[in-house]
Parts: sequence; structure tokens; C-alpha cells
Amino acid sequence: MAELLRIEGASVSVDNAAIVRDASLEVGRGEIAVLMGPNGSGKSTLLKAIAGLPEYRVVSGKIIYCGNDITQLEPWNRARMGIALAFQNPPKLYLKVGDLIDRLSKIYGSTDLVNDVVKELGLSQLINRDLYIGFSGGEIKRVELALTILMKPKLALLDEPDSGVDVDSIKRIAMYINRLAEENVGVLIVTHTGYILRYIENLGRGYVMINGRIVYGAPSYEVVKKIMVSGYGEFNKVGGVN
Amino acid sequence: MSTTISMAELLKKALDKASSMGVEVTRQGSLILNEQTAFRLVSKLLEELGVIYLSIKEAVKEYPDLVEKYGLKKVKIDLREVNNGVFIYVPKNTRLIDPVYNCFVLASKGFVQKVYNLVIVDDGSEVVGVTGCLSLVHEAIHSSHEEAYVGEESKYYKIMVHNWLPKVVVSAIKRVTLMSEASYYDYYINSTSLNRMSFITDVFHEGGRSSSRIDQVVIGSEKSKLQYITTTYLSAPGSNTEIISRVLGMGESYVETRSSVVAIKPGVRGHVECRGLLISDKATIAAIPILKSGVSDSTLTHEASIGKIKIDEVEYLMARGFSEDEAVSLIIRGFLETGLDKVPEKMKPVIRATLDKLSGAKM
Repeated sequence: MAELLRIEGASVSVDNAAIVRDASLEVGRGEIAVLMGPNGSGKSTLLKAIAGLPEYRVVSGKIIYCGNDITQLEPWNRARMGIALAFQNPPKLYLKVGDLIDRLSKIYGSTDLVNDVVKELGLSQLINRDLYIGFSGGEIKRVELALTILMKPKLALLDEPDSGVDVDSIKRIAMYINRLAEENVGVLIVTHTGYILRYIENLGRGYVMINGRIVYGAPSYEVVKKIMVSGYGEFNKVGGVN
Repeated sequence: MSTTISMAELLKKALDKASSMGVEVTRQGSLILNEQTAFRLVSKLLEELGVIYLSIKEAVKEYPDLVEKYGLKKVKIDLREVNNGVFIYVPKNTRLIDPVYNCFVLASKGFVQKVYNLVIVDDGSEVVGVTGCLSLVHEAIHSSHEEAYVGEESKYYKIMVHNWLPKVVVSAIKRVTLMSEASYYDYYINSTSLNRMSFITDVFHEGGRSSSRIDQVVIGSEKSKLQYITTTYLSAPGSNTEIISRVLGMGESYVETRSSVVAIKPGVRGHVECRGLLISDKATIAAIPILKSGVSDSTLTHEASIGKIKIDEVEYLMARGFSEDEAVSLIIRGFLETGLDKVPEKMKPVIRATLDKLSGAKM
């Protein structure tokens, strides 16, 4: 599997507090990789650092994407190079969903996808509403996924795509994730429950993050199995993969 | 060396500026330069439909009965002191598809423009009135009174665009009376700085099941001191109202929106939303929602907030591929976009373009 993303010993700080320490992981093209860990372990921080958000500063280590070191690159340049982040808790904005879809589809040349994405993810009723104001958990996840798809990513970073979502929506979201991988998009899913993974067809590598460190790496199905059997407590005793 | 501008040049300048504000008087309407009606175009269709469209002084002479019946009811002024104004009468069961435009222009330094407008939308009719107010000079005063009567089952859409200059002083009073099942939609946008503004809007729901919605988009810039006092009186059962204001605080401006709903009869609903976004540390916004009710069977609600653009909002849009400046512009653009779905279709592109221009979000 050709390499798409490689993180080499990255440490990430927010407000000068070290959140992620010496993390390394890889995602290949068309691979669905999984990063698991309990709440507050640093998973979302790592995703935001990969996306380049200014508050999430990589203080050491490297982020290599498509063979290039993008560690110091601005977030909008990363987005336009194909890195799309679907947020776990996106901010509420006075910005119409339809307006943002329109702008993104023009930037990324995805206007031909809009109708299908809106229809299949059930967004018709949300188009004229302000982004995430009064949205349910499932609606937020579906809109986030839609925006991610319309960015035509090479690498999709999905932060807890299954939290607060009903079963039907999870299946729909999983279907799109499977489709992204079929189109050779690398996907990195962050999840603490692993619930969505039962609907994912070809899981790739799996990682476990505890207290800001990646402490275990193995094929995802092994990672999931281990967590289902023993929970996260066991990983405190496991040696890290870094 | 002094430069003298001819009347024709002044008119052209005013028409161009009006047009840039979306106030297309050359399609149908009039432009009042100081006290003069410098341009007026009334379409044949309006005449055929029996619409009366005159200056207020002409109306006083030609239609004294209509002025007597509907005028000066909620506004108390001496018409002899008024130097111009517009009179529109839309007869019963007449639906005007194209907007009627009016533009008031301050064109001489030190001029005091005193305006009285009277709009009558008779029963079962519909009209879109677009009013632009602008200044070509820095020091002048605009004082306007407007009265509107919206008959039974009628609709009156009022779009108002203000485009002043920094030393201009404005005082405006608008009073609207709604009869049974009448509806009134008011969209206001002020995009430039001026010295001082006091703008009072009162809507009287005198007929049952009448409805109103007022959207105010206000940009406070430089040292402008702007006060908007808006009150809707729900005096008839089943009537409802919404007052929404969005204020952008820039420069050293002070903007106050004082929006009140008064429930007088049972079975009424009202909602007030006052929101402010501070762009400058030296700007001040006062967002004041007021609810008054003496009747138990009424539903009145309000929301108010003043804040700054949050870093997580900017970062979110940056992660979607927008630069920091573009993200800020988009946030401002979105914040200012209120009530656009209610604006008549023909005016939407104009309002959108104005909002794009204001926020710099033309991407």
C-alpha cells in the first residue's frame, strides 16, 4: 500500500501544554486506519495538528504527506492539497450550510457531487439553516462528512464519526467511508467506542493512544478485539510502538 | 479654484450611487435631490393598475381625501415644513410584481432635508417598496417621517438601504399600521459611517392575525453613533412579530438596538433577537431586547448576544481551505445575513452583493 501520511515522532502542544508526545503512525492510500483511545487521550489533538490548525503546534517531529514535509504548512494549503478534517465538535456558525457547500464545491471542483451527497446523506432540510445551530448529533456528523467529501480529499481525517449518531446514520456514514477507500482515499478514523468499525469493510492499521502517547499498533481488527476484551486499562501496561 | 457641478452632473452622480446600492429608480421610481424631485419614472403598468405615485405635495393637492384619511395618523408633523416626500397608493386587490424605488439624496452642504412619505396598500394588495438614502456631501441633515397603512390581507415589503457620509446627521421615524391578516416585512441595512442616527420604527398590529418581521443589519464604523428604537404593538388577537438585529461594531462606533414587543391582546406571539459582533476593541454595542405583556395568553421570547469572532470558528474554516482573512470575511458575511429568505426574489441579488461587499467575502 503506497504511503500517504507518515507522522514521525510528533509532539503537539496547545497553549504551551504538551498534549501529544512523540507520536508516530502511518496511513496508506486507500487504507482505512483507526486511532483509538479513551476520552482526553489526545486523539483529536493529533488530527487537528495533522490538519495544521494554528493552536495545535507541532513542537517536535514531522508530518510527511505525499512525500512532503508539511509540518509548517498553513491549514488552508493542507486542505487544498487534499487533507480534509471532519470535526467531532465543530463550532456553530451563522453561515448557511448551502452557502458553504456551494463555496467548497467551487473551490474543489466537486459541484457534480453536490446533489448526490446532499440526497444520500439526507441534508435537504439543512441546506438553508445556519451551520450546526440547533443541529442534532447525527445531523452534525452527516454535514461534516458531506463537507469532507466535497473537498475531494486524498486523506480524510474523521474525528469520532459515530458519536451521538443513530444506527441508520452510522451505516450511512460507514458506507461513505468505504466508498472513499475504494476511491483510493486514505482515511484515519478516530473513535473511542469503535462502534462504527463493524460497518467498515477493509480495516487497515490500528493504533491506540493513551495519555498523549501511541502505545500500541497492530492490524485494526486486533486492536479492536483487544479493546473489546480488556478495555483501555490493559494498554497502560503495554510498551509503546514509538 | 472652486468647481461648480451642474444639476445634470449631480443627478448622474446620485443615480449612479443609487444604482450601486440596488436602488434602481430608473426602472420605476423617483429620486429626490435635496428638496427637488429630480427624476421620476412611473411605468405605464402602474398607471393602468390605478396606482397613484406622486410627491407628497402633489398628493395633498390632487388627493386630499386620501391624505386626510390615511395621513398624519401616527405621525404628528406640519406638512408645510416638509420639503418633499413620496405618496404611494396601491388600490384594492392589486399586486405589484416590480419594486417601486425611491431615493433621497443630500446634495448640498448644510442642507436640511425634511421628508414625509405616505404609503397606502389597500385591502388585498401587495407592493415592494425600496428606499435608498444617500449623501453626496459630508455635512447635511436628513429628517424623515414615514407612515404606512397596510390594509386587510395585504402585504408590504419595505427594503431600506442607508449610505451616508461621516458628518451627516439622520433622524428617521417610521410608523406602520397593519389591518387584519396584513403582513409587513422590513429589511434595513446601513453600510456606511455617519455622525449620528436616531431611527424609530413603530409597528401597530391593529388587525387580527397580522404579522410583521423586521430585520436590521447595521454596520457601526468610524465614530458613528447610531440608535435604533423599534417597537411592535400587538394590539389584535392572533398577531405575531419578529424583530431581528445584527450589528457589526467597528472603529470607535456606538450602536444601540432597542427592540421591544408589546403584547396588548391575548393570543399573540413575539420574538426579539439582538446580536452584536465586535470587530474593534474601541467599538460599543448595546443590544437591548424588551418584552412587555399585560396579558397571560401571549408568548414573547428574546435572545441577545454580543461577542467577538472566536478562534475556533476561524480555524474551522481554515481547515476547509479558506485563508485566515477569507475565514473572517465568511464569518462576518454569515453573521450579517439575516432574513434574506424573506426578501423578495428581485432584491436578493442586490442584498447579497451588498453583504459580500461589506464583508469582503466575494470569493
